[in-house]
Amino acid sequence: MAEPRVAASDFTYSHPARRYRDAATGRFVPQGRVHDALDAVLDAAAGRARDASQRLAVGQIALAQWQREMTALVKDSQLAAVALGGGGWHQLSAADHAWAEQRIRDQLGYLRGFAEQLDSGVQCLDGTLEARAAMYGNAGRATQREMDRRLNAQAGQQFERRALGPADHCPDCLDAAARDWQPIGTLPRIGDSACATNCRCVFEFSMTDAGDGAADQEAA
Amino acid sequence: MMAAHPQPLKRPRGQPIRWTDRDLDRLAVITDADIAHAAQFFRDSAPPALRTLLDATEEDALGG
Repeated sequence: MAEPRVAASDFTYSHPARRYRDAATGRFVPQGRVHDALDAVLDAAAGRARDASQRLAVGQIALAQWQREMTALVKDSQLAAVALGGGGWHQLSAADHAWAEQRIRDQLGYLRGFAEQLDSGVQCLDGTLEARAAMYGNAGRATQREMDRRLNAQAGQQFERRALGPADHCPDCLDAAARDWQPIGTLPRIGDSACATNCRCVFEFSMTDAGDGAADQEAA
Repeated sequence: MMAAHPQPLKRPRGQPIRWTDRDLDRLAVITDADIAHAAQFFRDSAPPALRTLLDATEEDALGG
């Protein structure tokens, strides 16, 4: 697979640190800003989903066209999330692409059921349609968090903890955060909590269950 | 006189695409066009200061 056309970037990516760096200042980009970038992109994807659903509800587009538009935004949001978690387009490996395809395939499976429910009338053409459709854009957040988790595990990190996002927190997320450091891969995934695709929590990683080195990730 | 808003339908217009498992497997394959489209979507949607974030180059490749 070819990489996207090479575009000049204001950033580099450090594999050892698994962090983006501002090329002009030499400083790491704070993880919060990286997550803000993803949120903006996923908000735009969710907006596309709502817009397509509004047009479907009033008959401006047919169901097949809605499926095509939803498929496109699923791919855009999932790919952006994987690339963000992996250090950018140029750093993605063949294994990363295969992993991304599985994430996309999962979403398309859900989308098939959604379309079937629209066709059968189980899913009404009301406000619940837009809200449900928007979840397909927001699902990229769980993918980016899972990509981050996957790469940290590959890099030898042994422990993880859930840090609450800057939003209202559901009981599931509060419980997960209260468990503090746990073996990597054992805490609930982002998106599996009651807050679903609205979850803004992140994972932090460490070599020890005392969190050694984790504080440096944000301070750098 | 105010223009009337289109009223929601009872059911969507047209027939759905009846995706098989094989169709979904094929749709999930990432093409060069998919990457290019997603890259442009990120540049168009990310905060201006971060729109080239995903075009980052690897530091080792630059001797960084």
